[in-house]
Amino acid sequence: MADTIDMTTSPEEHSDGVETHEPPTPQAPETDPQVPEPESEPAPGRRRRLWTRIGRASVAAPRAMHVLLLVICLFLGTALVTQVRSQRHDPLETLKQEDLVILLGELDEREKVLRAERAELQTRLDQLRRAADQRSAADEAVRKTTELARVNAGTVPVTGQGVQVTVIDKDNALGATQFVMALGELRNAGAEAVELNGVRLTSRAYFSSDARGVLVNGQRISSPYVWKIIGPAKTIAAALEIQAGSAAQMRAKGAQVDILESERIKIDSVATAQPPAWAVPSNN
Amino acid sequence: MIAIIGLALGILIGFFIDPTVPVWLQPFLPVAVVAGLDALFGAGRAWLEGHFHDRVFVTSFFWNVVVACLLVWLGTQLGVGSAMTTAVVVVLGIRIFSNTASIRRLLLKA
Repeated sequence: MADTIDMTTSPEEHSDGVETHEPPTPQAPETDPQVPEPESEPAPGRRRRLWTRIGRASVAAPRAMHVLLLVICLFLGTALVTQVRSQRHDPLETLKQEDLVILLGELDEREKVLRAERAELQTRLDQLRRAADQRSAADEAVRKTTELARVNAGTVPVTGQGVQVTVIDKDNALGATQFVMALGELRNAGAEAVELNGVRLTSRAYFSSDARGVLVNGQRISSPYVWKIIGPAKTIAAALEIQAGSAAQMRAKGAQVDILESERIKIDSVATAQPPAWAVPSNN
Repeated sequence: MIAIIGLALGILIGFFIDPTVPVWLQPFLPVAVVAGLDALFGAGRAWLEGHFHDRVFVTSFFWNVVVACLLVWLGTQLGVGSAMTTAVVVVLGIRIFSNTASIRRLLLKA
């Protein structure tokens, strides 16, 4: 196989080992020298002869050599596809040991980098989680405090167990004193929200009275007086009924007092919150 | 014709059977395939030029494959396996190029 390796078509032994003894003309050798073909003609006859050759070859009588040819080509095709598929299946399989070592080193390096990155990200995530937890806890506390403050200030409608007290004062004998006392007793008994005839009573509520009757927060109210109290029902009822308590005093004035415990008292009226004019929060 | 049928059959067989390459053959198979392709193109060129002998083709095919594999094996023994594989593939590739160039000239007259 002494081949001169060049791209020219110099006379050489081809890979199939056949000596060419013809000049390297770019045309196939004439099998029929009686019919010379001009170079310029775009070879339809040539083409036809090629086809006839192919046809003749395809219907040629099979010889033993053909079987060998078939086997060789079969082997070649199989080897080709096998190699391609194994290459596709696992490109690492065909790599050399040195390449594999280098690849492994690179992969180790990358793994290290990625691990470091992951650790860093994990730490950041933990930090953020902690911050978020603190944040949400603070939010929750603020929310609860706000709710509490709202309930205490009477700026939201509330519902819950409590007591309804109905006072019927036909003689108009009750004065502000009895109402103030009643409210004080309610507060001491743990009332959380109080409403009197549709007026929400807060820590700023005040009573006054004149000849015509009672005023709460400057609003005139009249009998029957309906107190709605939310808080520990039993405690409040007992506190009102205490001896020489406010209920007893009202009855002494000739009023009729009915105390009714209830699982669900609903207070819809709200007080307008007044921002404090003098008190400001101190930080310590 | 027979050769093309055989090639197609072989490709199909390779697809359906999916034989696993034994480990000792792994470095040689790609080179062997390239050598076989080279022989095939040489045969096609010879056939188009009108002096194809199947005996020559068969011997050249096996010769190509054996020599290519021997060279690669020698290269691995000398510790220049990958370089030798590259060299063999390059040389066979050049030959395939020149053969296909001749085939192109014979078929397209250009």
